[in-house]
Amino acid sequence: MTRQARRWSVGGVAAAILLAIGAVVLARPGISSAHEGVAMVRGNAPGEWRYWGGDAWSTRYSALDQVNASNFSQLQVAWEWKAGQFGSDEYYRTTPLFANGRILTVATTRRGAYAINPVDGSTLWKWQLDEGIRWQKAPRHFAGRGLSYWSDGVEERAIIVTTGYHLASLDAKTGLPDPKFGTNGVVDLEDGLGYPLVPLAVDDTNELIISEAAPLRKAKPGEKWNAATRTGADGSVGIDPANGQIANSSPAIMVGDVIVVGNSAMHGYWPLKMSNIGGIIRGFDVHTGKQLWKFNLIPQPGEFGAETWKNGTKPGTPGTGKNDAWATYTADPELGLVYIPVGMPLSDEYGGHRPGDNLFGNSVVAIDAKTGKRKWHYQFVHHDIWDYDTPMAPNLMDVTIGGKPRKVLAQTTKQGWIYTLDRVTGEPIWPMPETPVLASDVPGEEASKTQPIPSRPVPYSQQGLLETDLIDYTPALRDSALKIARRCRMGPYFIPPAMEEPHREGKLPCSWYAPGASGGVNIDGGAAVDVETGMIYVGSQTGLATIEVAKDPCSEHRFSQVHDSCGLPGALPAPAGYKKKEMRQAFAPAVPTTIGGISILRPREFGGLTAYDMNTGDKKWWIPNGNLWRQLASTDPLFAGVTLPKVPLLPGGQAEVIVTKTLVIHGVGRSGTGRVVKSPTSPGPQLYAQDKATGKIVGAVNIPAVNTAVPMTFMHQGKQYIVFATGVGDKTSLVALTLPGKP
Amino acid sequence: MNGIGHRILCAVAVTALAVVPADLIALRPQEGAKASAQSAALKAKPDPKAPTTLRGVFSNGQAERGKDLYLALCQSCHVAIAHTGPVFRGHWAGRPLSDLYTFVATRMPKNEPASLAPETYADLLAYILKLNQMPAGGADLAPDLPAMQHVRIQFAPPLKRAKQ
Ligand code: HEC
Repeated sequence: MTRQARRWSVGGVAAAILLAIGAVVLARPGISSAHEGVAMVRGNAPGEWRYWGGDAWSTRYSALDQVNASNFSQLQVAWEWKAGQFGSDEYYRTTPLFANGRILTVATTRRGAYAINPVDGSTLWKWQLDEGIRWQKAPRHFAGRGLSYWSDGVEERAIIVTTGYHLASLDAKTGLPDPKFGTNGVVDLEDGLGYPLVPLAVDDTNELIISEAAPLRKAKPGEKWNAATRTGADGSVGIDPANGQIANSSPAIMVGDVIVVGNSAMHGYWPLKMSNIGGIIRGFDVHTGKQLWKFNLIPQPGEFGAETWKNGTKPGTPGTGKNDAWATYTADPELGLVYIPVGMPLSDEYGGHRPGDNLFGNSVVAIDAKTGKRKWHYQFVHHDIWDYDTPMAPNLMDVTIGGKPRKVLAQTTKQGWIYTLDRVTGEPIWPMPETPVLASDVPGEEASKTQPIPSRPVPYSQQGLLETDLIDYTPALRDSALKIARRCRMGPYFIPPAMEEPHREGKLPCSWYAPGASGGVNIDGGAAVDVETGMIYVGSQTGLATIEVAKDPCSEHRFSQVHDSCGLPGALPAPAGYKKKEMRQAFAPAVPTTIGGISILRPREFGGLTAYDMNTGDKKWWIPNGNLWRQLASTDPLFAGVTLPKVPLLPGGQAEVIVTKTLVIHGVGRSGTGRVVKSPTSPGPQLYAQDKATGKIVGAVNIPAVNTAVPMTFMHQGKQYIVFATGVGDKTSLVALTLPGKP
Repeated sequence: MNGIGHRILCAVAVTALAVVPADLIALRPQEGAKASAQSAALKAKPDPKAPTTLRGVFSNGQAERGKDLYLALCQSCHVAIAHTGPVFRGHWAGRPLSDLYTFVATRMPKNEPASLAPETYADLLAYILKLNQMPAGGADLAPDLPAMQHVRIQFAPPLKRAKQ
């Protein structure tokens, strides 16, 4: 790569600030320079939080116990680190790390890296890359999930994957880029993928809308930057956006000295182009930034799994794209394996252009971190047409099943199931028979005839819609609910999307969709595990929606999610005779999911927090998110005389959960925005502690605003802290809680 | 976001407003006559002289709340600027405001439709109107469907490019 290193903000003023603050840090007692001789536990130092998921196993478990049931409610805000002072964000979806005396985090849509003093929340150093239009049109415009940390006991690194898809290795002590790594500490992740890098340009100053509307493009020869209109070519290079665009949402994971990094793709809701770039996982040497290996999540011709794409997989083949592993990752340092949860292929709801099972879509893939070779994989959803990306780092556990010690991997999913596998071999722990599922009636769509259905544990979210799922408070209500239910395709799970057209002979214009595109478990939820007992605690949501596809007249795709892209930048010109169709939803919502404001779904123990004993696969307890309830009531005459139950206040939001020696701790997450608010009858946003065995709330502490990501905890100078992200826009911050008084 | 959560926690029948679409009412055998009257009312052509969304139908504070809600709950699937521009205008211009409200309140968030409180949807709507250059007024937009039926969605004329 010959191009010059891009403009840096770490230069001039910023560098000066950095050094000044850095000097303060180094003088501070108690922040030791390294951790010699400390035994790592699952890749983590005791009392620290070195991985997004707490440790390499993504247990989200900490053995700390200073904060416990007796004092949880006395926690106080120690400090608030205002991330918003550095710029704005979407919602702040970051879980910071704590390693060797420093909190390490990302912030703002620019995704800078920051180190924070855990005692007072002051900024120790910051680093940020100016990525020009590569940043502006990045498909994931937010701070991301966090950083990765590496140390050999002497040197320490904070590893960041930026919004514009660069990999940087920073000295965790100073924030200065490692000069031995890549070019001045940075590797361009768009390089090394097999595509040439070309100069890039933009035609407008907006961020990427979604899918491909208003993306980047290849610059024309001699094209310059127009500072007045902020359009044109600004010197950025990257993969020709005609191939698609990639970016990143989640940190890399360290396995020994290998940085394992993947990507996220453009969204596939309403794609315009017939193909985009497939997901890739790569290993980089932490010392040099050298690319060690590359693993194609869409297997290329000749590679294992390529035959699961009947039309082939060469880049640019119609129907290929995505299979991006956008979630956080998990590793077993002893086995040397990294476990990659993989998203779905291109076009979320129509797969007619990609017949076959579409490996490694919707799978977990175990890869040898040294060689990049596949050890095993397990596909949870064949030929996905439901947007059932694998959304979360799998949790690793050591449990005893049927008297035998087992090394397991528990994968929480959008589908509402935990899939439990032997993490050495990939074999299911409990039977997961391939089970016949409904066929699609959408032209050209060949839905998979079977899907693997876990026999245990029982699901944590509503799945599909059956008559037995409907309310039956009175015969008349049951009758109304049935009439609604029968307007769309029903079934136990995996109901293929329907064609939106209302008048197809004998065919329904919609399908019930549960869980929806956000799960189940999605970005926010997922599980924490108790490494001592083998319990797993899943934060999930539940709900009911419908799913339909239609022809988007200005997209290359035969069908996609209902959308009219005509007139959007990047869309095809409208076909001859095109008339704008009135959005059906504008006047008559396809099918409601409620009667008189009351859901047609019978209230069940779904969503919220579900605890399972993974030694047996038995469900142990359930509570709603935040243990917050609301009393159902309806003024509709159909409900006259009916005593309605209490239901969860936030069925559609995912609890964000961690575990300590004695507590399950969770916050309600961003779904509480505007809904969990202080008032005379409500304490407002809180963080909750539950008893691990029963789920009973044993403590709650008021917090300034709802958490927007999974919290973390650590011990520093004798004090246990709990830190979580909160806020949106320029109101983002990290909040630290600790017990009052001296340790 | 003062008071919204409070209203949710105690005033529980509120969702009814957002989620009783006309075609559902028609399903109920005993209410047929009333239903068709309501359906007709909901589908009625708006009065061209009715007040429009250019008359300050929401407050700035409300639009600010709506922006926060949007970032937290909606932006993961589409950015707000997607609800502006010619395609969006083409869909909604001239329609009663209740149509846009009903769309958002019964279809969004797409993965869990009709899951938010009416006040929350009204705040989100205020933000979308504001994004479309509609002026703020002194008072919040109330999630009052009948009232919104009498407000027509009108967009400010696009800013004319200065001649060069
Ligand atoms: C899970 C993804 C998802 C989430 C979350 C979501 N939407 Fe949507 N939105 C869609 C899709 C898909 C469409 C296209 C229409 C359809 O399929 O119903 C859409 C369409 C819309 C439209 C009309 C189309 C247009 O051109 O503007 C509006 C307005 C809208 N959404 C507002 C919201 C608001 C407000 C929220 C937050 C409360 C929200 N959405 C959350 C997926 C989502």
